[in-house]
Amino acid sequence: MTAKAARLAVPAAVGAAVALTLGVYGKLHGPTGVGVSLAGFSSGFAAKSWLATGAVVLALVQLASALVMYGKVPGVRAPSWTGGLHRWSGRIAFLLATPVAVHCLYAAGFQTYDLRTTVHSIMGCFFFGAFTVKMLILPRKGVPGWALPLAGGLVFTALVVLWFSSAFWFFSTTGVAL
Amino acid sequence: MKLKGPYVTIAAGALVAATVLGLSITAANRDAERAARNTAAAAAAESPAVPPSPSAQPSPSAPTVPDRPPTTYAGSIAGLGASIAVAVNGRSAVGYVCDGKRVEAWYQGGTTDGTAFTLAGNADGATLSAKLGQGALAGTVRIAGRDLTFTAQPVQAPNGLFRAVEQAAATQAATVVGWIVTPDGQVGIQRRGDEVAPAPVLDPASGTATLDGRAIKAVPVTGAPL
Repeated sequence: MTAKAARLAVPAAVGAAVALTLGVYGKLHGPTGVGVSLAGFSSGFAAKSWLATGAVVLALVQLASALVMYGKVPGVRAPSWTGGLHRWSGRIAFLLATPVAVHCLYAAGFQTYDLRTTVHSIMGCFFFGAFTVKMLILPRKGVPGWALPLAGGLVFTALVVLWFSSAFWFFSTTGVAL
Repeated sequence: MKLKGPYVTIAAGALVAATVLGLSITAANRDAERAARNTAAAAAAESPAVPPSPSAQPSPSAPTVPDRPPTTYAGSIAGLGASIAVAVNGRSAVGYVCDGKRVEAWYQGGTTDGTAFTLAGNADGATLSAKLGQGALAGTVRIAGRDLTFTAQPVQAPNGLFRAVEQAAATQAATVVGWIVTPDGQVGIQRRGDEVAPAPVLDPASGTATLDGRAIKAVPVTGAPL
């Protein structure tokens, strides 16, 4: 292992611990079926679906702004505010996703009764692990250049899978409503 | 020293998570307390139904209820094209109205004199009031804002009122299925949250049905509080 790659060991270990902790908690904690409900939504699931949808929309902003910053969009030079946009859309997306995850883990738990819930449960734990890794890599000096885009890409992919396995499923089963 | 953004982000996320978790625990505790209170109230309401000793004088405030075996009455509501069933067990009664397609409501309540029944529905403003006379139950049911009259006759097993509560996953609201089975056939509805659909076919002999590919067990509703 190169010295650079070794700099990833601690963030990766912490991220793995986060993912594992969430999964173990979700499995051990008896699902209550009850969580705090948010005013203005017809049900907890509707509220969660909309929060998750907000997070996914912001994640698309994340993807676009990251591509621009890395010069991957031909003919587009990153304006000076791209970094700020990326940081703030990410922060808000994370803060939108967090209550959803807490509700999932507390009220529903880690479930494996069909493919959708299995994928969703695993991805949910993975997402927060991967997010932790990315946050810990950011301020760290001397990490390989590929680490950040890889972590960001994994976080993005995980969130999209999470959204399709929950909010998209919810809206397509019950109809789109607040 | 300048705070590093990513650490602040994680800390903010942890704070949000802790807040939501705290609120959820409070909400769950409140729910559990409410359920415990309801159970206690139901038990308290039930206790007078313990058969009084023959020498006991009926007190005017709590008239005795004639000692009848639990009976289920079934009939139809013409104005709604729906079926109705009311299961009576001592002082307690459970009713169900169902058109087999979209409209359904559960009612719970009872009687203080064994003749006049008052039940409240699970939907807003839904009520059921009925009088027992000459072996039949006749009354009015308020459903979806309409007052409709009905008459219901006793039915014998394997006919009756059946109910299944199925929670496929903790991530979903429970599905509640109700069936009214009479010699003329069966009608039923399954409801999960606001989603309503015709119920799967109930096999009255085994008391089972297949919901979303899973076998579910239907329980006869006896009139005891649900």
